[in-house]
Amino acid sequence: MLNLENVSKSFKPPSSFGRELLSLISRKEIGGSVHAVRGLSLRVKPGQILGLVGESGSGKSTLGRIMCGLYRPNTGKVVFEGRDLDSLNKKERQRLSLKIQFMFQDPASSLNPRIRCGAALSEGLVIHGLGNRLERREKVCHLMEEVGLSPKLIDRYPHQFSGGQRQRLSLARALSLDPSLLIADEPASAIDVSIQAQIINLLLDLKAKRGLTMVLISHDLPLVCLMADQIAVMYGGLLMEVFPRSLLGQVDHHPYVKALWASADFASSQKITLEGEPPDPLNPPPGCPFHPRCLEAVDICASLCPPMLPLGSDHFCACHLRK
Amino acid sequence: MITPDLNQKSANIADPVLKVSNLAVSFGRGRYLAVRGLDFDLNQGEVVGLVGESGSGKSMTAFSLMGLLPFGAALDSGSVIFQGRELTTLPPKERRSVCGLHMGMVFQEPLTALNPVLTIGDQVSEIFRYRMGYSKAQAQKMAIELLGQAGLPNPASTLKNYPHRFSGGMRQRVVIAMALALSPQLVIADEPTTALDPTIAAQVVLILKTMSEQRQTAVLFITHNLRLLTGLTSRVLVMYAGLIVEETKGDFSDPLHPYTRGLMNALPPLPSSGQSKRLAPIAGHPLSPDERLNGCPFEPRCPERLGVCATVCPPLTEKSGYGRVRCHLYYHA
Repeated sequence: MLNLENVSKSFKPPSSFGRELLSLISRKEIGGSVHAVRGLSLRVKPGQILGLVGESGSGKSTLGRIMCGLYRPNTGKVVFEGRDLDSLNKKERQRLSLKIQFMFQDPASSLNPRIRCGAALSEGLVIHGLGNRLERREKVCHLMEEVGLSPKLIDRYPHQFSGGQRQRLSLARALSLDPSLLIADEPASAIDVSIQAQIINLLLDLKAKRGLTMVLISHDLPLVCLMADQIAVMYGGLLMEVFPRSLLGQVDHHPYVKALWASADFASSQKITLEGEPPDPLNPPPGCPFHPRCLEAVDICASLCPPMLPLGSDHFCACHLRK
Repeated sequence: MITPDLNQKSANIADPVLKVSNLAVSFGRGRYLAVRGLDFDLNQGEVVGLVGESGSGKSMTAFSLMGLLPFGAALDSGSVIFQGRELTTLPPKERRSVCGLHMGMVFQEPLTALNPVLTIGDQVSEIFRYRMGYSKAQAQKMAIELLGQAGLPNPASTLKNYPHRFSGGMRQRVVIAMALALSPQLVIADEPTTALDPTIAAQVVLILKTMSEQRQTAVLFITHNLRLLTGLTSRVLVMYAGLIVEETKGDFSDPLHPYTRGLMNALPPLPSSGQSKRLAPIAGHPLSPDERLNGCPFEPRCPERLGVCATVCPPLTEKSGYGRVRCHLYYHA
């Protein structure tokens, strides 16, 4: 459904006179670019949930934004339903939002505090000229019921909702145009455990009911393992391993995946505590991004970045020791 | 320098380091109740967890124990007895001398807990200079040793750097080192790993654990992450709507209260368990702080409520073999 081919994205700080001057005087570049995503390929299959796991700074949110066309990749292609997103003109790009929708992490900051819930939910319909005022209102009421909110609350402002309700609102907004692909960036990390489970069940129900394809971005490995069909683990802007959920714990995983798993399970007998810190995106290490912290690293890891190699059907791993 | 005579060791070892009874904190002259009456104690060298969702009053508990309540919040009632000494009625100056020397605190956000315009060295050695009256050189030496214990690579060069040069995990190590610098009897860690990534959080918890064990320091570990506490604490206090609803074992092996059991079921199962069952969420929303208690705070959301739950708030009762629980289901049994 969605294909990423060798996509990379880096961010440059805005050029400023001061920095240019400083670079001239010191004769070296000041303020290099942040390499958020460094050339990775990934395939999202229709009707599945792809879970994208990684720590902060691993580039998972950037990748999510590239997937829905919010960022243009520096290199590589994003192919959605057979068409390269880069080849679309402005109007076709706008039409894309009928197919791909993004659900933001923090519902408190992604909902406009001055716009009532009804208007926020129907905004997409207005932009695409779908239905008249009455039909839109009816559709919004229907959406609210679908996500478990009473349609009576349609004229409330975002601050009058609780955190869990706001997350339901932003889900309803993402679904208002009946997209076929939903990209959810940390849908449950801003809410409490007892409410979190409500949102997770809602997402799973809606996926089954509407036949949605989903990309779930999260740092929470247990959560992703619960929901996703296919799990992709990112580290330092690169994919470390992609595997179907059924293979979890059945195969020899990438050392980072093992460590991530151990850090989620504090009761486990085999503790793996990693030394060191995730790589600096301004200045990523040569070779495998994980090698400075890897417990199994060998000489080649420091010089050569391992390619993603298939280990089985739907199972890919980027590690020199796992081929 | 005022040093209250807390080190006399007149208190029995068996006596708890900290004894909190009926602690209540509110905002806006009693309109918003953050903490509705807490009773618990901490023994020497013990690590106790305090879990709760946001708004359950766990951070306000920490602030009131340290005497750091924010503007607008007030202590309504209760006593905090620390090593046989009542803290709530202590004059501010004397209370200040207890903090740091005998009680330390690890804050949630290490970036705001450190002063951005002072070097790490200044901030860490300040503790030794101010509290112990060490010379600058002596304090520096102590600071290097301390940061080394906290697992910072080359502590000597670290001293000259400013907080912004460090990652979140490194900053939190510095904050933990500062809280434990003078081997206090008690450290309150308020969500020390919430701002950190899972693999870094595991490192930081390990540092806190080893450093407090070396110093025989009791730790009150506040978190909303239940998983973090397993294997770390001996007892866990579960808070809901400003009350302790249950005191249970550190590994949550036999939770009694419907809320604790609900929380356990609402957590995504561990990958190792291999199951992918549907989660069982707790219906409804937590009690808001401006609501008064008529009965049990969890009654509106409880799947096992009884008729009496709506009208009478159950007391926190001892249940032999389990701990303490605030629930009518276990009151008469």
